[in-house]
Amino acid sequence: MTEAQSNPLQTIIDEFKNLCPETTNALIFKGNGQTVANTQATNPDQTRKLILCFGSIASQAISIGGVETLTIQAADSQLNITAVDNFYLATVSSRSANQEIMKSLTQVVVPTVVKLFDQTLSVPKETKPELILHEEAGSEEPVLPAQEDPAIDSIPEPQPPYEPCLPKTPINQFMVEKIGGLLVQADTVRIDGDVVASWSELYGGKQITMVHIEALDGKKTTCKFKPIKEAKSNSKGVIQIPEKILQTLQTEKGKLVMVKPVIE
Amino acid sequence: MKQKTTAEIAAELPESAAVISAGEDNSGFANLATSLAEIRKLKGVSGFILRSDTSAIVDLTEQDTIIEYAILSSQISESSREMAKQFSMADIESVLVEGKSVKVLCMSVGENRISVFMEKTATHAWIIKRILL
Repeated sequence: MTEAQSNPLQTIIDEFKNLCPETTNALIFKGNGQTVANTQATNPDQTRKLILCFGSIASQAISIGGVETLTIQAADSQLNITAVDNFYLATVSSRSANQEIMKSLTQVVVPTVVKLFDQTLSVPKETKPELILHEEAGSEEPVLPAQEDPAIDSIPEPQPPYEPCLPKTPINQFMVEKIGGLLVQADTVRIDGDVVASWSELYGGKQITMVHIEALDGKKTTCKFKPIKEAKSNSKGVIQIPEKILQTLQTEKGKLVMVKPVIE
Repeated sequence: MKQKTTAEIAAELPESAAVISAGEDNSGFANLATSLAEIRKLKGVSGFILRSDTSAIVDLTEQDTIIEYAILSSQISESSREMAKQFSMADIESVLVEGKSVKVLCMSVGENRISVFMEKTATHAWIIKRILL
């Protein structure tokens, strides 16, 4: 089971179709571009492009105080993105959808669940042993003997090979800067050092040497990377890319790209 | 009725408005400019940008935000088209982006692109109706 399938936000998203059948797509994503929950009808390409496009608008919206809501109204359908803390809820629905129900879902139900979900994530792990102790205490209660099931020889299922459970790969959005010069390696990009540090922390110090970069129009490449060492505030959210890789991605200075570490 | 020229429209706009023209306007441009000049007078409306392939009118209260607002309106127009395409949404009528303090209404009428900047309390639904009249 993936993270997206097991969290309460996924449950809410799954219920959208029942509560408001005119909703065709719904998804929740984080400010850093990571998808938290989405409907089955939303394919990965749609999700990726929606988040990229929204990110492009959000990055230019500082002059209006960021984006709290975005609504696209077409002839028969509408797309709505609402900010809830560090999460964004996106819905695509028919314009004939009951607006009261949509409002309740997008402005009351989801924000409430998101806030609870966020609080749950931020609860320190020390509280967990308390719960285990409680469960152990409960186990001392008299237990009725279990009813014996008729013996059935079951065929043991082949066990999948053990794989270490790695965290979901984070996807970060960066603004492109061009880098050049004699000492610059043509096959290596430079990334905001804080982001590189957060990747290292997330994967327990695991060595990450490559990143996967995707431009807005879908052009992709995988290359080596180095952190930007200068502790300048203007390196935040920036990726410095040499000319050769810029050409591969068909992107340029000032554009946005999505970057994720390659975890082997 | 005789179609207004860009020069005639410019004469009717406040001095703070910037009018750029590099060719003949399309028929809808002048009508939209007139409608937007009326909308501009509404309480809470802080300005507008009207663009066609050949002309542009920028009328914003805060002159120092012109570049930022122009880039934002262009980005909204481009990205919202891509988002709508992904979800097979045909014929975009309007795009509304609400920030903490300001909201932006973007619309395309023919080859003309409009962005109206307003306070969050302003009624954008009326503006949509007025533009589509």
